Amino acid sequence: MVRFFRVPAIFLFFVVLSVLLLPLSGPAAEKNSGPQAQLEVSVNHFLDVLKDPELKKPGREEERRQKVIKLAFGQFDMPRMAMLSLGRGWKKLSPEERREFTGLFKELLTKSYISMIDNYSGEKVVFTREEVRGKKAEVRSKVISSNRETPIFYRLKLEPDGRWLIYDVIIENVSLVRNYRSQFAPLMRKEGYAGLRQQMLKKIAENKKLEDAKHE
Amino acid sequence: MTTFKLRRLLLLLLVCFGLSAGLLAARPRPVLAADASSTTALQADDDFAEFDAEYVEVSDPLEGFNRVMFTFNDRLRRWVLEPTARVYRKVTPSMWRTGVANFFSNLMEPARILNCLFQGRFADAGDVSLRFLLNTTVGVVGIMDPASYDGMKTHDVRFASTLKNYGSGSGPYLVVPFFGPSDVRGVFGLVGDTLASPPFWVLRNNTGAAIAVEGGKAVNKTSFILGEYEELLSGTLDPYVAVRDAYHQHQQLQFEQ
Repeated sequence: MVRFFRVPAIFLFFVVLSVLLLPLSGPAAEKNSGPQAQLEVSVNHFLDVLKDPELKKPGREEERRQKVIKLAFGQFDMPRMAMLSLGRGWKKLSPEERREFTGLFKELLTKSYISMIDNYSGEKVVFTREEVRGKKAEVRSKVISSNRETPIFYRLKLEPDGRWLIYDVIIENVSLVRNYRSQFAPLMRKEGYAGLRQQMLKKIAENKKLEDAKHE
Repeated sequence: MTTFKLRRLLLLLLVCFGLSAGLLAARPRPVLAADASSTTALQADDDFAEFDAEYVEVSDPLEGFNRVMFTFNDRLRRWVLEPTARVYRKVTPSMWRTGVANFFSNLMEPARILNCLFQGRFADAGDVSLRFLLNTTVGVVGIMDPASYDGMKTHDVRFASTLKNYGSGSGPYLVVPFFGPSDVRGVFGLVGDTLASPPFWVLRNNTGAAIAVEGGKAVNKTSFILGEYEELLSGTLDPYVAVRDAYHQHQQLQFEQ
């Protein structure tokens, strides 16, 4: 029963992992490799930035966060994640609304990432399995900390330019996309996109307030 | 007189499960191999089909009650459990906290052994028994975990999965005060696990002590995962729904394995 509760931890880890994935900016040669190889490069790059002692110095927290988030999010196919999280209702949105929704979705995600970045304490990442089916793949990994192991799976899709981008993260059996979908679906049904948008803006503002309060 | 005793017993039971699990977010426990294959999902051709196949809106007939309990547990966690655990963490060395966690985990091994046996998993029952013996003796009543150093992992088989094994359905989703997300089968599972745990029998005539022990256990567990609960939920739009979905997703794969 309690197991689901591990999710929070996992969530952080996932965040860590995902973040790991970041560096597309890396060598172009990587683009022709498989999803796991690409992910490993990104994750290692990501971990390097997290471990960088220079960035841990006081006063650089915000810079560190931004850097890590940029790296991590570069590995995600954000519009696709947003689309899948919203479900078929996505088809009814105008291009403008889609862009806006993707932005809001990203902001919600960012909050989780910041927590994980600030709490990183030397967790290691091990890749355990790769499964490729045409243009989709699943890569499995474990985040290992001193007292637990958290399985994190990534689902990726192949881009025309040879990059594999993440569109779902499954932390300890819980799919992020599915989890968001369960939250978005009832709102969409009851209040439509306008209502959902309202709720997202509210939550983001709340998180921002909490964040500001912490820094004062 | 009998009614009184029965009531006390029930209260004790509730407290036992309750605190042990729910409040604590994660447990520093062995991770079960997650191996359900997602091949079908990867094969779906339409963008949405992949998730439609996996996505089922769960029925939640007790949502009204559950939301109230969720809020209760949420406040308890944020206002009582987390602050207490924060102080506790400051004043105790990490070795102490790990020892306490190991000690309580070791006390659950008999229940795991029984459930392995109920499910005909005799080899697993043997593994867990060996662990229990080793950790209880060499590991000084379970405070240390030498078995894990030998690569002996536990099999966290609980009564809920035994019930499932014998064909019991899950029943409606249920948020249990103090305990957290569960379902009707899960509540029976908790009762079963509690009846098979030594602390219950030692403390069954002393409600106060039982509450103290469960509270302490909860605080100790939480000290490993401070802040994680809040962080997780900060990224959600509707925390109640997010937790309910996570529970179901986890259950689904857990049992499919």
